[in-house]
Amino acid sequence: MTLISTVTAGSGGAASLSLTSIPQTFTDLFLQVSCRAATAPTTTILMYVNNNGASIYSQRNLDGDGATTGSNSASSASGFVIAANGSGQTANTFGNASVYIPNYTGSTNKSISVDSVLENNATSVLMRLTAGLYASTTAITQLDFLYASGNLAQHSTISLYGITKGSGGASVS
Amino acid sequence: MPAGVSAYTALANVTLGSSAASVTFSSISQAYRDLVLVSTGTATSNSWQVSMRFNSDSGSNYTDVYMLGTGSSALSASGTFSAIDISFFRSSVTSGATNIFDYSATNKHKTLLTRYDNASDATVARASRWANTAAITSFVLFNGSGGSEQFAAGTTFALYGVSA
Repeated sequence: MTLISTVTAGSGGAASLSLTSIPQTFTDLFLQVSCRAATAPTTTILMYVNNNGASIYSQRNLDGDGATTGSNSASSASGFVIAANGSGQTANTFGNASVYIPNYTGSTNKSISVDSVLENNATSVLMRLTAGLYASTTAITQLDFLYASGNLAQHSTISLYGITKGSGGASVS
Repeated sequence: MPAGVSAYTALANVTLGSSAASVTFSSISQAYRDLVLVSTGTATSNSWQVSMRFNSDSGSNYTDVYMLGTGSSALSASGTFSAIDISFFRSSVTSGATNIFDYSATNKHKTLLTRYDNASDATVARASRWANTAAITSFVLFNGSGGSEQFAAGTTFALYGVSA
């Protein structure tokens, strides 16, 4: 696993955090996301692949909020939704997510697996598991993260890692 | 790699050039703390569970508990089986990762955490245990649902070692 890049919102926050010119030399991508909205109460952040806002994102979520579980889904969406902190959560807390994208350079649709959490020092919290799909056969070269409205708060940060698979070592029958 | 974060080392990989009934990883290096298996694949037909069995042990020595979200409902169940399910393959692609902890230890049962996702089907988290203290030196992946369906061409399994 190799660190490719880390982007962080500076003083005053940022409208978006972007990872561009992603090298095509790895097998899979892994992201660690830590985000909070500067002013908006929205508790989700949007991820766009290759700056593409077309209706080709879908996902199924499994949620736990500390009291109940539930499941929901979205299809033909114009962005990929990840749980993150809004401005209303406990001060200095950030929502966190781990994002795994296998075979990101391949010529097939891209699977996206996410484990995310909305942090809050109160009873209203959220843990979410997500099965996602970006229905495009184009290699991933760019990822953008932004809230539907308002800036990301200062200190929001995203790290991108590349993973390279090995070769051989398994038998097939 | 940031200091203090364990590194993945690529150990083995297979991308199927044609359909196959099973994939075996053997003579696994004992030099790491944990193993991570990343899977991305489809089934030749129908839908079935991808199962894992360690060191050729086909006894009822595998237990698990899982939670699953279909997009409209959530459920959880547990049981004891003769293999561990680590994914669910169908015509659309399913990706997943299985963490096998302390696989080379000889004084503890082996614990696994698995996540697998198919945006057309479900998101799943599964905790499993192999009730055996032997070090894991091999495992086989196969159709645990029975039937003749196989792994489709293009299916990939990548195995990584994680240093302590």
